[in-house]
Amino acid sequence: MGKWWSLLFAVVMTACLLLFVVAPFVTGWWLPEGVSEHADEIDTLFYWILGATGFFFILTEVVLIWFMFKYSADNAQNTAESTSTEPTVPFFLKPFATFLNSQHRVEMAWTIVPGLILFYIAVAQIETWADVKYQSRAPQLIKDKPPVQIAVSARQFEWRIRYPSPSRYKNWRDNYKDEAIIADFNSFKDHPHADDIRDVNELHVIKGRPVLVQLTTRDVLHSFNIPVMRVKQDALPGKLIPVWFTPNKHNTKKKDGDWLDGYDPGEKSFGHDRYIWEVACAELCGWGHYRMLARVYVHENEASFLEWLEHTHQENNATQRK
Amino acid sequence: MRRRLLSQKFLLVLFTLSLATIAGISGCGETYPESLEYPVRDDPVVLKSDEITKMIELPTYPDPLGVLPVQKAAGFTNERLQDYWDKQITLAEFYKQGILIDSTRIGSKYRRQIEFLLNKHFGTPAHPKVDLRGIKELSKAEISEVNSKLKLGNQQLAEGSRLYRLHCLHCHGLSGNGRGTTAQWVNPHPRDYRLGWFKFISSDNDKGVNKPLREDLMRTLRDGVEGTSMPSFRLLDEEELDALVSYVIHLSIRGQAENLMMSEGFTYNAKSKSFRPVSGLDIKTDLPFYIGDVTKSWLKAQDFPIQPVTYPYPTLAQATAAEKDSKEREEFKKSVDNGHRIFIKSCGACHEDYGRKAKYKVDLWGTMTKPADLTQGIYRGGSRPVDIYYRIHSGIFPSGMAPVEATTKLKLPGQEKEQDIAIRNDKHMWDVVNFVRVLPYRGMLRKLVPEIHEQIYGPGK
Repeated sequence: MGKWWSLLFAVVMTACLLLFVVAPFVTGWWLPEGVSEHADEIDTLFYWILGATGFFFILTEVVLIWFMFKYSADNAQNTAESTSTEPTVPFFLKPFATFLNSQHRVEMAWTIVPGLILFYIAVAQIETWADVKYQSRAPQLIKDKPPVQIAVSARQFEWRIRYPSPSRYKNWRDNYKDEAIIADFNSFKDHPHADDIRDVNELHVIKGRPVLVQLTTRDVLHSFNIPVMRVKQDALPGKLIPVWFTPNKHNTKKKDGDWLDGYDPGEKSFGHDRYIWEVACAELCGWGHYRMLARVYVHENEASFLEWLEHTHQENNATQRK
Repeated sequence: MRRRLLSQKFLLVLFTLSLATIAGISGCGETYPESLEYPVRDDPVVLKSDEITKMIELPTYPDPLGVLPVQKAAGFTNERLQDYWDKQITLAEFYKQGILIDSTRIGSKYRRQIEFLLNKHFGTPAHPKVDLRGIKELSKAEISEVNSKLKLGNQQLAEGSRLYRLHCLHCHGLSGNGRGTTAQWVNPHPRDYRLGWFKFISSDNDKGVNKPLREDLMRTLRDGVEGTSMPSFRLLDEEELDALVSYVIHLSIRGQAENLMMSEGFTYNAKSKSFRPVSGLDIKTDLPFYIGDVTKSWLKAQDFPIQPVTYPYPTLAQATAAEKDSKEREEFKKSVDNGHRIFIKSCGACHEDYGRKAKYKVDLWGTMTKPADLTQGIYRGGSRPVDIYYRIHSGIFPSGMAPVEATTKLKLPGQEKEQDIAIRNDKHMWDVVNFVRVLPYRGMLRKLVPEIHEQIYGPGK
């Protein structure tokens, strides 16, 4: 094999590396800005893992390419019989040569060190995982700030959404201590009411308020994935899975009688792509998987959310042509 | 030994990589190819689908996957027909009874004439149009209304065609025949626009119209059809949805004119086993007549939306929020009770056991369908009270759902004997709507009207 194959490897691997270096500075190539409470924790873990794997990536590739070049069959001296019995140690490994003086020790080293790193990662992530996945940490009914509980039913190729009616929601908020109300709150996920609001592809939530999504699917596997909220949960047929997050930025405002997203609270204007937050199905579910999208509308406060809820409730119960 | 710097293997790898990159970057164009034309239809034209029931015993299961029975009828051998219909039936029987027309066996001279005229008036997929010049049946005023009421201008149709190709083609087919690549694997099947019938319309059949309003088609696009494979397209803009609706109307007018021409213009001759033109057939005048006729019916429908009578009762929300013996609760309860009685009398024949035991029937498109199971809470035409009102008012003609009758003889609670109760255009419509809305929710039904709950769902929880 010609030693110039190593050049091809070098070019490709360098290009991959450069992509990672450049990506954070190109719009849309890197992680979008996280807008939920737990986004920071997840991003920190992401960067730790990226750092560790990146380090080992560079290390192993440099070694590989160097060895491909230096020890390629082209080099006449490599095909000749070696007379020395000492292993030839490349210069950059000489500092370790005294300690790692046998094959066995080398293999122990390159097993134990990565093992320790992985073990550290496994332990470090438990708290974050628990925060977003352990059902004991799911948001509960509390004084004045009930979670926004929504039933999301995935189907090919849309997200069917069910909200509590305004009166049901207000009941949860105002009577959070009442046993019957708590039971009603807990029954929302599998006991739909005739009065619940049914909508499609629009997820309305409140800034600073936990969202409790009761996720089901009507046909095949889907995955409820909101990149900006760092939320991802597979929807399994036959299972009901709770998902929760708390948005900490809002992107929705009422304009001309309609609620529009893409609103930048800093600029106070609409039409900003960075403030259009999508729910994108993340489990291949058929021909329409690529366009199985919904939009997340984060309201600034409960008043705005309730206004939308009332409006949609009335539309849902229309007895006249519009 | 010197190796070549650029070995063959290396070049091969480089070549493949570059090819893949170029293919990935270039993509495909968004509009239909310029030279593509709408093909003359080549699938059977279904005429009297209700006659099919007289000839064979209907299966108790829906269309098998991968088979559109009427479409494939031309390709079925007698064995397969026997398998499916459970009885020995030959295609010739279907032709003889006037149930099907094999459009491929209409003389090629006539097919060419039809194709020429349709292309002249409706253009090609890349450049669709609705050109009504020369159609004597339409006045100048009506032709201009086609643009204002139905929005069938060239610009909008071109945009609609581009979006249709991206989003709808694979199910609804090139000519809107509901026979796209995905169609046969999907049940219920995608709409075949060429029959000119749509299911979920809110134009008033009392005024003799039966075409959808533009807003009905918009609703279908915005909300999808729950319970079928038609998804919601709410994430497209209003203008894009408008363009799609225009294009669908264009496909429907074109398809229905072609359908009428073939079904009215040709009959089966059993002796020669061919499809002969009826006497006096002149495609050059007949086809434009059908185009004018169909366009007129679309225009007329836009002027007559159903106007629901005012809803006189407390709303569902008010009734549920009110106290147990309050006026609101009692009034609503009475409405549900009345609605239940009217339902049993007027709707129970088809929606047997509230839809749970409904039987399959053949719809106008020749596919299997059955009355909805109303205990499921899934309403394809929309779940708002007014949507259910529209369904009851107009029925769903192509599926065989009759519109509710004007009056029925019934004894409602509080009356001494049976008498004529007005239903249509009367507040009793809302009684039925209220009953239907509450029916799937056993908790609510049990709370409001426990006797009815027991009747429908049996004792216990």
